[in-house]
Amino acid sequence: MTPAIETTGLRKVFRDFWRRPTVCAVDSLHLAVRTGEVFGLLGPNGSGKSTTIKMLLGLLRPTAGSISVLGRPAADIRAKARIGYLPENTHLHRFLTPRETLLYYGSLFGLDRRTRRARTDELLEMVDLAGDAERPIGGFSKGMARRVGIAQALVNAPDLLILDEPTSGLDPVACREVKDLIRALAAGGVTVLMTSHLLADVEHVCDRIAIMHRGMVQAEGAVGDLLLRSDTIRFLVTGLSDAEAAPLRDELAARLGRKVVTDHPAVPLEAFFLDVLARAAGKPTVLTHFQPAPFLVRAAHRPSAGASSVNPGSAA
Amino acid sequence: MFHSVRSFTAIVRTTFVETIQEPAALLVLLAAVFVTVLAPLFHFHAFGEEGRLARDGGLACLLVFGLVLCCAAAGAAVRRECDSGTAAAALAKPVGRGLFLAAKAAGVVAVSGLFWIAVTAATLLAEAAADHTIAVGETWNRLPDVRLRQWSLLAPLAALAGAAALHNRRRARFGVAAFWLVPAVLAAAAAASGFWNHAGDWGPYALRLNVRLFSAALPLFFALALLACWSAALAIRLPAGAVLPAGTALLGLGLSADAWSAGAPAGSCRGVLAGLLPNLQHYWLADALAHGGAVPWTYVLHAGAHAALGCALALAAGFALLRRRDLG
Repeated sequence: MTPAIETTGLRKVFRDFWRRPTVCAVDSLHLAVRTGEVFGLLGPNGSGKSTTIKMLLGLLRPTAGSISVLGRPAADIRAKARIGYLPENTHLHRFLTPRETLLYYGSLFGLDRRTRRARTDELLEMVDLAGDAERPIGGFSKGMARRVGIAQALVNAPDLLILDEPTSGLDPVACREVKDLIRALAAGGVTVLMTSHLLADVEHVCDRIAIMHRGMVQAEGAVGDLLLRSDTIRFLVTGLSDAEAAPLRDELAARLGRKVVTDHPAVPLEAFFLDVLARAAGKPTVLTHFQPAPFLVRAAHRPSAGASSVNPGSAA
Repeated sequence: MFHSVRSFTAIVRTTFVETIQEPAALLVLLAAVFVTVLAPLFHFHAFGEEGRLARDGGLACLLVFGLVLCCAAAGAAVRRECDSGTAAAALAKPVGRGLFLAAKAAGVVAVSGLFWIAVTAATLLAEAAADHTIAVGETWNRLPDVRLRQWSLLAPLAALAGAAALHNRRRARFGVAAFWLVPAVLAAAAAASGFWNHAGDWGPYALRLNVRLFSAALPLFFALALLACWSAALAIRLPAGAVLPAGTALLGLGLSADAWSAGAPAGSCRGVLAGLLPNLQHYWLADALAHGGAVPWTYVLHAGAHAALGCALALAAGFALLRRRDLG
């Protein structure tokens, strides 16, 4: 199957007013994003993530290399008609209302009036801005403006969604909703390319990732494969006290001749936060599957350095 | 095709609203209107041509304030959008760069059209309200149309009050409502002036406005459109603040084109420059209206075609710059 995005030897050198080279933002980038997957582009600030995305959209001209997006060259109008794009900073006209903004972007996609209006209503409802649809965006908080940005990225029901820091500026509830939305869109066959500084976000939603540094890909692969520690085994036991666990751990250590670590897994802060809000709203707790606290046993070939990043979900 | 039309009109509309909701745009409009309608009050010497002074002053306001509006608006609409990222957000959609630039320029031209209506209506009012000088024996007496002067001054104020009411009652944007209402109310006031004569006596409707003014004012609109397109093209490379000085230089060169390009061979630098830069003397026709004269409409049509060609040239130059520009 043709990849949704493919770059070969992509390079971008920025120049000043007099055309003198200033910085090489992307260098020899080979990237392939498969159709229907959620692909995460990670890297520190200035690693070339946003530059890569802008080249994919034809906003920046590559200095060298080739780009294919949905089987067409970057900047091809027919390819762009099938792409949804959320920029890193939500660039919106401050004087327009969310409704006017979505109608405007709908017009840029050539949607007819009826489709535009129906899609606008649907998206405003989806991003929970139906009540603020007639207020100018200039008076919005960063999070609300971000929601409008997300809605505009979906106005054309895209086949390829490019999200630059999609959860930036959003509260945890909205972050969760965006991540759920990304997974739902991917389940519906939409290809998603996203960048994020929040590694937990990427870990939760991405099928594959590439880590960029100084404009080059340093690591690439499926999230599970990259993060898997095949030299370590973890047992998850519920309803076990510290006193009951201690002899088991000692026996296991004695039998294996290796160090065995036990700990109590922590609930992720995001899950805890969402649970507090759910209970405050009189809804059933979302943490029931963590209770009672499971007891974790990890056996490693080498001594383990602690267990603060245990994820009970993946342990099960 | 329909897709391009929809995209084009959407960008034009957004640029138009974006420009007129800027407080600076409304200030320029009000400054031009008030200078025009107040001018007849400050004619302290009777030359017997008070109407002409008011008319020439109004046309000069149209050109000078129009230049400020067009250059500032084009600079903001193109350069500021490129810098702020809204241009990138639009060009990430299926919108060609040429279409984007043309739509941006068209939005600014539409704003200058509304500005033109307001200042032309103000000029018509100012000319009609100017003193009529009459000779009584050996002395010259000046006869002002007090009612029309009052209407001329009250019309923009009424428009602002109407915009405030719309903002209060219907949450309409004040700047946008005011920019629409000022030309509408001024045009209505000009049209209503036919119900009384210069002495202030009411009577059956008789047109008192100098409609010949349109044939001189319309070429100025073409000149503003030309300046808007050149400003939009320049804004791709120049910072927004530099577009106005560049536009002013263009206006100066254009108005003095006959002086510096006279006798220049076609192949020389001056000749080439004269061919490329708009000769704005072709659009300044205030003198043709003196002593009951008029500008032939065929000339106006030719001026329009000349301006359209100049706009196309400016946009083509702008597109060549934008095509290679990195956005984001």
